[in-house]
Amino acid sequence: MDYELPSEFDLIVVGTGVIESIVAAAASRIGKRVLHIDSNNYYGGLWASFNLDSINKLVTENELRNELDKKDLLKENETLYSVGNNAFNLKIQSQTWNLPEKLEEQNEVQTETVDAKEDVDVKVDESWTQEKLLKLSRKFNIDLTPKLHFARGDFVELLIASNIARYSEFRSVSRVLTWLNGQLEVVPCSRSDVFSSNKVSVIEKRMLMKLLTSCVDGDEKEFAGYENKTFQSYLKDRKLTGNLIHYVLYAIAMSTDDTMCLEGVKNTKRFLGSLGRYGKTPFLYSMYGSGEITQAFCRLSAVFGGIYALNQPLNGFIFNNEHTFRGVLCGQQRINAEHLVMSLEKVPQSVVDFSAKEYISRAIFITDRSIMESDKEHLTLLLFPSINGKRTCTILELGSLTGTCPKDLYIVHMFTKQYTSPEEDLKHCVEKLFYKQEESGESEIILPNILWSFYYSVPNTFNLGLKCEQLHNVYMCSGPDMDLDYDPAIAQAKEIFTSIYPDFEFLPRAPDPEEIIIEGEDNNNVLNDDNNEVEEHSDNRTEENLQTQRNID
Amino acid sequence: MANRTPAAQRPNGSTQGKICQFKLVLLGESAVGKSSLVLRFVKGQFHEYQESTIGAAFLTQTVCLDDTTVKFEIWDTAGQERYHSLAPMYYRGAQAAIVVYDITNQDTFGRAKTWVKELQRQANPNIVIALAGNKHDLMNKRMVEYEEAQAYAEENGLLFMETSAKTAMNVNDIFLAIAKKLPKNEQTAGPGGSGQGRRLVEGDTGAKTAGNCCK
Repeated sequence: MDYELPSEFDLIVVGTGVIESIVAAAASRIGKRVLHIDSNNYYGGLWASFNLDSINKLVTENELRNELDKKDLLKENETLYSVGNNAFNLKIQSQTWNLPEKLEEQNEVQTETVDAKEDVDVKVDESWTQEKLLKLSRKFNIDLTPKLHFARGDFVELLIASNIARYSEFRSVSRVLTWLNGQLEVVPCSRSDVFSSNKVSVIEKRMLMKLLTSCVDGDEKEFAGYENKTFQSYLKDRKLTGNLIHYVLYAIAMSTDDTMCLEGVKNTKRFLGSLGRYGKTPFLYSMYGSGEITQAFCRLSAVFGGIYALNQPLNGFIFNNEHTFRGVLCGQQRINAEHLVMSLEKVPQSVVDFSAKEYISRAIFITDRSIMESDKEHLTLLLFPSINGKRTCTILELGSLTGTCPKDLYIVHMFTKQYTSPEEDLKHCVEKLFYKQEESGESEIILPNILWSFYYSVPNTFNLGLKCEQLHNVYMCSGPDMDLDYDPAIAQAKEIFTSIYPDFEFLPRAPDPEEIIIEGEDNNNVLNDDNNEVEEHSDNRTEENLQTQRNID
Repeated sequence: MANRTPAAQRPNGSTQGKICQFKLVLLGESAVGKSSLVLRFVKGQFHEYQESTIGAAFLTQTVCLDDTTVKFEIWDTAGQERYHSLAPMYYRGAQAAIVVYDITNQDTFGRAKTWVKELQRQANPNIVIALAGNKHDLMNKRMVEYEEAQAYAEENGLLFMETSAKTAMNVNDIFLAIAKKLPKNEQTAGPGGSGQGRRLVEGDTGAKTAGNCCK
């Protein structure tokens, strides 16, 4: 470390995952002194995005540290707990290149003609090599935990309400696909989609619109008698055709044959409620990867005085005899704070008595063309339905416009609940969507080639009871979950924040630059009401002077 | 943000015509005067004992060039550089950067060179970079020669000025020089340039705001 960190804080946050970062932002925002540290040299932990080079070198084992020779920094009646456990690590199943390392010199001469590309030959475009992709490494932002955002979901509303939205840019998902009758089909989402679709007959259009309207506006009466029935049975009773049931059940409601009616209705509302705000579908994706999101919250925290230090050698947590948190040992330094918020993987091994029972099977592919070619680049969500006993699977295809991969390439994320192993769990989707070397059978559709694949599983820690009874003033944040959006993460962050600071507002709107009054400034050139102005005294930060005036525009 | 009328129209007053918005990031070692430069530029102020600016690490200012209004969206590091923890998000879509060093401290000049390299590696390849040798008012303690910095800037294609946030010397000028050098139409933004993504704004129904010219 070049500098010593300050040694007194209100809150220390260890780990820069999404939940930790939201808590850090919320605490700084109300004027608390926050230290946010991570032992990694990057932001995000299991929620991070990596370039191609770093994801290939991903380290999955925590380095467990406990340097007991620092005892002189402890007071009497204090105990040092080691940092970290390996109960919640990501598990890599395989990482495979389907490309030659580099081109042989003769090959290079042969493939010089541009026409080779236009060939119907479905072999790997020979111009791609490992070397070539790795040279473009920095153009990749590969998410460990890809997320989409409902246009009117909790996340988007929080981002706008807290004014964090200005730090990030988004792209709209441009189409939602499903797998129907052995091929990919675009799901008609909006009213105009429904009416312009040539896959749906006129009668079906009316039926579908009527159904969607009753799902959104329908009162209890509409669903009376369906409390213990499935959503599928409701749709069947409404006499929808097979195709319509498929669209509504598997895509719009993101449900399965077993989903209960009221849950299906709730999901349908969530989907439809986010239509028409941004783009053609209900979903947004954050440019440059989902890993940007933790950074946006961290930035807000820093802007409000939070201190950030990555790559920190954290050597232990200090507790007193009553098991109340006192501080941390960071390198050679003791840093005190009242509260500790940490990622699950930082919890001392000695107090971890839970282990993840549930895993998420995930895969990432780099491919050379879209799963459904079109004249423009799409950002695609494919909800692979659970048919023929296969499990439902969420698939996201990102093109270069998202800032996550170079031009002419795509990144495909896939995930599902783990039953056996990632490769086994996702096999049925991979086989249908991508070209397989072994079967050189003639097909009129040219399938994308997988250039690189990465199979891994992450523990789903959301449903663990994350209370640590024996330690006081300590809060634990779960890792990534299965939700498409960040709703569960926001809920958990808010719960942690409210437990620590029950009397404070959670992420109130941050002032716009025009509203900030710098000390000694002539108030005339700043828009203000009577007494709500934002004042700015770095040494006198209280909640009053961080208040913002609302509705300034 | 594009829907907002700027509260203050300084230094050149308001004008009709094209409005272009650019993201500009500040880089440089702690205490070289990054925030002071912005504060001087945006608010016309200087504080001798300026502490890290709470809540104000994101400011806007417009300058006018002929028929074009250039709106800078200025990002300060918010202290995240101090423990080498500046997030990659910071550079995303930035079309301009000012790398600041302190002319009385040779180390900060070395650090500035590292930041320039980092920008060349990480940022948009068309980014306009300006090098600012700040604290010109402390000339009698000078440790970095003007010629040395100028030669370095020339080699690397950077704009270069010595500035003083305290006396206001060259502060407006350096921003103006950047504004002049920035491409003013969408065509010149090139692929892989600024994000051109969607910003989420209160009450927004989905108007697309590009990082570049929006009108």
